[in-house]
Amino acid sequence: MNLTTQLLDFVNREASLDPTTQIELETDLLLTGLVDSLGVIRVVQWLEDELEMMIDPVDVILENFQTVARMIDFVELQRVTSA
Amino acid sequence: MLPELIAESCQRRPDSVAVSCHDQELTYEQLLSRVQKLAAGLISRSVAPGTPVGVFLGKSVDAYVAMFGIQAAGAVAVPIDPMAPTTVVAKIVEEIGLTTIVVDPIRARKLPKLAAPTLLVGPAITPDTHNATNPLTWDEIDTFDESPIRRVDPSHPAYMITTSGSTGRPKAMVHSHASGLAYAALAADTFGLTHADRLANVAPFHFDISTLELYASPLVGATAVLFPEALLKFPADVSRVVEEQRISVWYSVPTILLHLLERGALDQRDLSCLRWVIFGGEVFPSGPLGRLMKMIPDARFSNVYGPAEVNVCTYHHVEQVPEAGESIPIGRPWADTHVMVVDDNLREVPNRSRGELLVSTTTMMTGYWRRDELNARSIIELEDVEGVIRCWYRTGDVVEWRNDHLMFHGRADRQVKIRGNRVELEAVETAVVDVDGVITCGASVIDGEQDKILIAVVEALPGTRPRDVITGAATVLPPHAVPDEVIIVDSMPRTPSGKVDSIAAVAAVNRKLTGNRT
Repeated sequence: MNLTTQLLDFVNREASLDPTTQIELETDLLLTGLVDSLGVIRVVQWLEDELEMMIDPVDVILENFQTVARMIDFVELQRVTSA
Repeated sequence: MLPELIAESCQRRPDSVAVSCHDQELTYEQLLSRVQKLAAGLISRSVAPGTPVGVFLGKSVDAYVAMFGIQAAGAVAVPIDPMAPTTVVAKIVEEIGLTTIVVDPIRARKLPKLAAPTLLVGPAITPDTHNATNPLTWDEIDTFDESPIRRVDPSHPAYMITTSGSTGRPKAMVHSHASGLAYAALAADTFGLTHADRLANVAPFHFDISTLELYASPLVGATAVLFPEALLKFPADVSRVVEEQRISVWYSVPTILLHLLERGALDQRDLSCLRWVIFGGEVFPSGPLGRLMKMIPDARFSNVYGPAEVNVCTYHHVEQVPEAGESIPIGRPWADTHVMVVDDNLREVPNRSRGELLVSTTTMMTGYWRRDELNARSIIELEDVEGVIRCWYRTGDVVEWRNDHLMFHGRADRQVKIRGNRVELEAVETAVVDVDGVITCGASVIDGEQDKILIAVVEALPGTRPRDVITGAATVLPPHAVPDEVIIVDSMPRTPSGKVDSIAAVAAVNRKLTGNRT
């Protein structure tokens, strides 16, 4: 599985508060209340563990975590800049 | 009346910003106009004085306008948790008998099937299940002339705060205009609020903490800066907004401050405008509090205490950085407030003895909505030490006088606070047992690194998965009352009388759980 599929799977399985809603790449997770603050922490921890990277708290902002697509963009950028 | 606070501030400084959220802001003149137009719209649809009107909106300028617009029509604002699941909303609608609800498009989809014909305010289109009459849209409201504020007696209800009771049946505390006005004046006085202040509105409107930004702010003509729910999930965003918006007064539950301390990048922010940090709703551990005070050395810090039934009743200014492990007092009563610490026979106990706290104050609720029996138990008449017969609210909180200040020692019952929200453990257990496959449940809280963690230990049929139990419970419980962890055990510890021993059950799995977490 690639990162996008894995992350979508994790968000649907572990971070979503509503199992009846299928979260897609562009689903707004935060304005809809599908993910709460604990869910955001879980996602950050999962990304850190899976990708063996450190995410600076300064980067944990709405802009980077509003959708799964944005999360992917954000971690890709981090990996490019740190490489 | 509470909306008159806006009219008065408008007379003094019409062009001052009253409320700000994201890139939207309203001056006092604009706020008053929108409040009066909403009142006119509600009155045009025959909303009578004293009618409860729901506010089911995300944190927004519209929600701020709605609270006052409803009151300006002489009606009663009932803010509903914008994150509540449909079943919880349904219970509130039914308990209070709401037939008018201000709602945004996202929440309109979460509305339950409505039994009575209901006026929805805001959305242009509503689904059939809503049993809605022709909706009143914001565009239509804009076309109304500003209606004069419909004046009602200060003892008249102004707003309600709802909480889930131990049986899951919501309780709604009714606060009068007089209560709101008294609170606004006491808060402004205690924290020296002026028109130059910029108050962070962090708490949701269904939470009594938000009454500072709702009522004390317009009393002094200050600016309320609203923090939307989504933003609060990101401490580094929150601290950025505090800096950019030059927030001067902050009031929240400790949990949000803990998140700011751990992940808010505070060392990279200029928080020199922040002059007062007020916290309440739950206990702030002294270690992190001390670290936070060192991070924001120019601000004063105060602990305030009070069940939503009486809003705030005591305060304690934390003058020195506390030692780790030191308990922070809940302090002493503020003005116009009397307290008594009593034993089971309602007799006052001496200094340094524990007892239940009774409160008599001008900011007290008039009572729970349509709950005569509960009101008779909760509000009692009693003579104080000076021989004056007063009305007291029984808090159920165990406290002790330590010379000139009160110390808090928890609850006499099984109510706990999670991120500042009241949670009745019995209600959690009832909801979990209702999930398919669950046989028994014991719920308790343990201290996590930052938040309290709500654990449900469950005996269940084979094949039941913890995740299913959590999602099942989440459909009937408010978000803060949903167990963070469900642990399935083979046999449940019981007390000698045969009841589920939830404390023993959670203690037994706690070691295993903390081992798994790291």
